[in-house]
Amino acid sequence: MDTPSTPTSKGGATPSLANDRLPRFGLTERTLHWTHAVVFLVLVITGAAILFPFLAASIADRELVRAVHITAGFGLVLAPVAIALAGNRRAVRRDMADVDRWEEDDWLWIRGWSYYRYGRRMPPPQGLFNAGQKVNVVFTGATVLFFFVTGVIMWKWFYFPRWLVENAGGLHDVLSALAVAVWLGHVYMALLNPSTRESIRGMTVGWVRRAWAVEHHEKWVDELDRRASPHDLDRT
Amino acid sequence: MVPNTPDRPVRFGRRLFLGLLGVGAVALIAGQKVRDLVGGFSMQPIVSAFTGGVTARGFRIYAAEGIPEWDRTTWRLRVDGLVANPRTFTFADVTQLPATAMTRDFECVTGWKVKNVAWKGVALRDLVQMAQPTPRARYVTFYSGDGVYFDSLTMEQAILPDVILAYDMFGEPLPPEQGQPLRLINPHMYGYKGPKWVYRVEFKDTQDVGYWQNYGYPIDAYIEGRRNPLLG
Repeated sequence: MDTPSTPTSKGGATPSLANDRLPRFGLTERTLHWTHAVVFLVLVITGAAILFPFLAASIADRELVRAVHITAGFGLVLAPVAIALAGNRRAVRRDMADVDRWEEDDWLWIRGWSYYRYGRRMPPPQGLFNAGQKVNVVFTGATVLFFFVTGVIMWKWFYFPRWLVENAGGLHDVLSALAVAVWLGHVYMALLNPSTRESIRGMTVGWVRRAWAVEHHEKWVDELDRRASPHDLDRT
Repeated sequence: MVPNTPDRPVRFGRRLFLGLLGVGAVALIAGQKVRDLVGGFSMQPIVSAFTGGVTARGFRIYAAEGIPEWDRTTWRLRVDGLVANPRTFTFADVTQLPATAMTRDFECVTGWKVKNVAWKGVALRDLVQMAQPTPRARYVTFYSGDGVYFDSLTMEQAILPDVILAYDMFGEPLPPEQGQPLRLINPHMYGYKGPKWVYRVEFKDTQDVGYWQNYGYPIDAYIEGRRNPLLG
């Protein structure tokens, strides 16, 4: 698994990057990711301040916290859409298509997931995103939608029947717990877990080391080699 | 799962997305029923774990301007405005007035509720009797000690027998975050109609538009599904 399965004579034939670096995420994708990250954290912090009494009690300006939370809530939905539309739409489409497309290896990855963490087994070759990342993207998209819908219902409760407001409040709570748990796992993988933390480079400077990519996203590397050209790099 | 080959991938991403939308929609439409079926799951244990049990009873604490300090020796309740007998009470005076006790559900507009909260306090109608509002007094405004929050009721709403200024909750003195020493409890309406840390009750001939009404909240906040006590 240490060597790519395809001939690599053309490997890393990226004009602008050193041979062992593969371009992973362009400016649009990275802007999208970090904007979402900041908005999410603002929502977690302001949401916690509203939910937890020991924080709520010490807040002098709850009105401001509420206003920031509601504004950021709109940002959670609108910011990614605006960035995707204004940026490299092709790159975003490519990412979405990869999240959508599930091959046999994705199912194998899901089945063996718990083994990889302990290095007992190498995962099956993965594409641009591994199956776990695909689930994370889908989960994030769906939760964003429901955070927004339930948030609007709670915000403008007087337009909605009481049963719906109660359900929305409950769902908003449950989603918060789920989202924070998933986020903690995401941060662990990106910053702490030795075998996966190389990945954050793709989301910061935009490239990853070829050797790591071959191990974790072999099919993606193959695809890059086949095309032997930088894919969808932002031109701006 | 679905047998497929690299040549014929399954578009599972969108199915998963639609599946999650379905789960969310069910939660939105039938969340309470599902929760009751699985035995009353709620976030409360998690919230309480983080808060040292302040909200063990299920309350969430909202304060417009933080929790004001209460000094028993200097604190006074003022009952004034369009009344024949304006009055000022110490806290000891308040607790020596005839007490009204009741157990009612508490409901917040953001979707949470606490069932069977035991309150004890002074009925507004008892204060009205003492203060003797003039015929022009048709509304009552309640001021919160945080200096920001206030809300109002019509006289008819205020003198219902179970509208009280509570100083006990679950048999204990009202804790600071619940409005120590006095909070208005109007069990017919959502929580925002009951200011905490009440220090002044004013009788007026016009109705004040309360704190949340400035954000579009209705001025009459009758809890949906309960009988409006004034309509009989």
